[in-house]
Amino acid sequence: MELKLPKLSATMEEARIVEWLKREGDQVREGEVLYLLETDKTTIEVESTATGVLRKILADTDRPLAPGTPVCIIDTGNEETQPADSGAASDTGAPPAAGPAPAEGGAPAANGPSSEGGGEERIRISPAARKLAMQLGVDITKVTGTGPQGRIGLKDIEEAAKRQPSAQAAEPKPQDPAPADPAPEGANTEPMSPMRAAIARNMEKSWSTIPAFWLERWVNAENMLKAREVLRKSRDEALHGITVTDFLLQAIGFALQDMPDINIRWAGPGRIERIGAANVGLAISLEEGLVAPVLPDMNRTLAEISRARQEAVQAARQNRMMAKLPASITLSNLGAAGIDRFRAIVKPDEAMILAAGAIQERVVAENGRVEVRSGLSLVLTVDHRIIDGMKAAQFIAAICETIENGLWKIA
Amino acid sequence: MITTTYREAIQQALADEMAADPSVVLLGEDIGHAGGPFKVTEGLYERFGPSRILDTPIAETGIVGCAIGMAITGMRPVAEIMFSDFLMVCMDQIVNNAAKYRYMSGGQTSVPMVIRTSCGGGIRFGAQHSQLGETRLMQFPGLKIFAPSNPHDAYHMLRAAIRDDNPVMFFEHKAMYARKGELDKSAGPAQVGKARVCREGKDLTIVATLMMVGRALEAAEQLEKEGISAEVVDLRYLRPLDIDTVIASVSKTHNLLTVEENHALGGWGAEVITGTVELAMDELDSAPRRITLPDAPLPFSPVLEDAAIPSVDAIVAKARSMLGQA
Amino acid sequence: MEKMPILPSGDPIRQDKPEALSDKDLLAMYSEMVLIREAEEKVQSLYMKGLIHGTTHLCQGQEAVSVGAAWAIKPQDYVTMTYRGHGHALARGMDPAKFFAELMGRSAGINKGKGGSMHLCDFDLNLIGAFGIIGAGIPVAVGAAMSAKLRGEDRISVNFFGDGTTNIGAFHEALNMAAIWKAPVVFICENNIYGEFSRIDETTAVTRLSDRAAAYGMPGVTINGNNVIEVYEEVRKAAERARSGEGPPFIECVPSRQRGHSRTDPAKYRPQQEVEAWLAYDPIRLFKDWLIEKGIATDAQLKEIWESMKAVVDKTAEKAEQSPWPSLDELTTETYA
Repeated sequence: MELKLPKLSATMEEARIVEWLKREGDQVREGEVLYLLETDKTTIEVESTATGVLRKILADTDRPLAPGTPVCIIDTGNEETQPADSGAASDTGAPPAAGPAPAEGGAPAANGPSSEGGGEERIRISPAARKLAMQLGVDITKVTGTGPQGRIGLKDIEEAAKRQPSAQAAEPKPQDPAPADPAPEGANTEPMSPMRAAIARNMEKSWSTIPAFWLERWVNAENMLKAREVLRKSRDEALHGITVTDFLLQAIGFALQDMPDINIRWAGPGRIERIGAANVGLAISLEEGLVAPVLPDMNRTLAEISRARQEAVQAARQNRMMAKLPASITLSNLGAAGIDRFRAIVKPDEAMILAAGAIQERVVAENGRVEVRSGLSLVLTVDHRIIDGMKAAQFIAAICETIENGLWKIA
Repeated sequence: MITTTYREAIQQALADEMAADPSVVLLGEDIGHAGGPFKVTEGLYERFGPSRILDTPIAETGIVGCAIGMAITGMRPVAEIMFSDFLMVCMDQIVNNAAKYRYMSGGQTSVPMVIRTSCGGGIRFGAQHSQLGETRLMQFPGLKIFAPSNPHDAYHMLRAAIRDDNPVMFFEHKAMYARKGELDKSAGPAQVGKARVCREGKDLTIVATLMMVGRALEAAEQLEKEGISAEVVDLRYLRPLDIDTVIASVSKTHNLLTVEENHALGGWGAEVITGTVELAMDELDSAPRRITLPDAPLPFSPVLEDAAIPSVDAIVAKARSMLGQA
Repeated sequence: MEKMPILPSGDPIRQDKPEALSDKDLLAMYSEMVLIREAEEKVQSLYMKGLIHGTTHLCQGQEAVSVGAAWAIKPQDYVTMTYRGHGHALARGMDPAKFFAELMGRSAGINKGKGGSMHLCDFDLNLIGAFGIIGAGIPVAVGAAMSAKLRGEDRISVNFFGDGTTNIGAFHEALNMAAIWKAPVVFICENNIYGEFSRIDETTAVTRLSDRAAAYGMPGVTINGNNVIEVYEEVRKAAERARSGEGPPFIECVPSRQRGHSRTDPAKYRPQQEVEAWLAYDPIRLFKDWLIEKGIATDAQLKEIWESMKAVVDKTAEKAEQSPWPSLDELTTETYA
């Protein structure tokens, strides 16, 4: 089966393969990430839409390719060599999302053609049913449709949801469904919301699979606060909305840019993945729970970072999915809640998380004298499988240096 | 609240408007002395006289052109074109003059006129006297298109049409003139451009106008007995078209069926379905469907005509098949 | 019935000074005729330069009809015309700056640039419509007349159209309706012998168009369209008749159309001698001769008037050329009231 470069948006004209994550001869499962694709907007993980052996890579890295260009051949063990669009849309013709489903999170391979024993079948599903499946966390590849030509309809999803006790929910992440925990029976129990269930699953996975260690620094924030004051008075109103979070994101972005070796994450047994861009996740607290979308390229100006942050917050509040991007680190800032210092839990698909506390005045010793300085606590949690203490220490030091010396890029 | 016919409701709207505003005048063929070919204007000539009601020769272009001339010089004329099929004769005046006058003049004037016309089939008048014709006019910005399905709406919508400062095409279904219904005169004025949910339901949205509304309601009754709860939306206005009400309904029912006395190609059903798909695709649980006339001129023979115009049975059958219960 | 077309006349103006017109009025009429001539020449040159777009229909040689008629009616009277309406618009008093701006598609145009050359109107001057479809304006003119009649106003409707129009359905419907209702409308047909590109005797069964009025029981008269005083007097009489409620009169004016049907037509279909002969019949020159003969003005004065009208045209066209395009926000405005 020949896989082609997906068209990820109506305006996408060309893209570059940044890196093949599989070699010729490798076993490939449908849903596994095959290569990283860099578009004008972002870098996307493109999943395989077939299971088999990667026989031939047809498209080199770093060349501009148009959507539809054949990129590789996968031997599915099937005689037929029908070309399939990787990440092709469902029969409703929605724009394809080949990678970790940006606009349509939820069950894995929900958007690609399902290969049942190598057959070339698209999933027929009505738009309303697809939407409901996402909301209820139903895996549509496991649903039998009762509509015309086997189309999956609302009724089918509702039936499936009843049978499926632990739903996969809004957190966009291709991973194995969690084992169904028997809910303790009792008069006062109730089901979790899909978001809650997803968070529960992720936290459990992270806690149980990532051996983590912590580094702490207390960083002097006075230059940062001065800079913020200046920006607030700027003639450029776009600069008035720049927050401490924006400064921290930039500091992390710069550190990632300067230390590309630490910008990595676990990619399966014996493998690491280089992120390549200074992407940083941001923990956003919502009524219903927590989301942590990844913001791209945080080594940009403060103005651009601020804009990206605000869009992400708005999208989160409106329950909109944003493009799913890879990152090695997320920022969690509980300063507004008055927290002195805390340790956060690494996201299961990342390597680090930086926990920022509230800006407070502290008594510090400087050159043998007692001073009062404004600053905040930074605690970095690190995946010790792939990053060691010294590297991590250098990383957090780089972040602190930017903050303390005011080495900003404003606009 | 009174019980009246579609015809009388229209007549009363004309009378009430003429009484309230001396600039409202009527013109058309046989509307004065003869009281109108469908008796809609009966009695008005006796009441208002020749200075308010002009009997015209058989001259559609002349009639509409004249109405436009009156409208741009301070009158509110209501012209009658006897059969909507004859709109084709005076299309130039309607679409090249009336619709565009305000725009081409850079806003210097407007054309507050109404063209009333009798449309629709089912009465064995043959291909040249049975068309609707409202859908063709949807292509022209500057026009408004009203299509009431019952006496109450006919009354309020006609008054609103006369009050409107834009040229309004007012479609009356000729097979409905004798139909009775409740009219509450105090429940006005009509909200121009607002469709009406005339029956609530949760499984299927049926959108219809004019005579098809009644048939859709009958179909909904039957479907109810089979466990299908159909919501019926009476569009009432084709320009402006209230797609929001349709979408709100489809967001509830997830299935959309349109029923019209037009041919499929270029009928308003296509517009309603497209609008719904554009704005609310995620709400659809099945492919939207439309019931239309077949692709042929409307036949004369009763057996053929009845088969051509969408029937209650056709609506029921289509609904069943859409919901997988064929 | 005449089969050969009536040809324009080059006869000098022999009428006496009309009582109702002072010397000042007569000179004003002359200025207007010159303004129209210069404006149309300017339109031609702007079109060649690509500043006026699409197409446009010029009326050089027909100034006597526009001006003579304009002076014969009252400000409250409704005027409708065809797409060849520049002369009527300017004679009625349209601001030349707004006129040029409209033809150039600018937002300062009389119709905000949305109508163009074929659709000039100015409701402040009761210039209520110019129509692109042949004959479409005639029933509209009748409707306007009926408005005035039903309201009992001292107001008539005056409708200009060309010889080709007398063959289309709307013409016949409207004249019939006007006749049966005795609508206060004056029908003025400018017979310039060519309907678009065909000569009238090839397309029209009755070439003396005023005879067609008889089909509707209307009085019809054919007059010399190159004689501004004759036009003035005849239109005045007709207007009085219409105002009196006796029914619509029909006037056929035969002017010389000096240019082709439209800017995109260089008029090659007209035999050269014909054109040369007709160019010799210049209504402005005929009027000038008469003004001088009657001692109302000297040659030098009239030359001065010409210069000043040319200056007005140059200035206003220049101003229009500098004025801004409509903003894209205006694309859909003024579609609905």
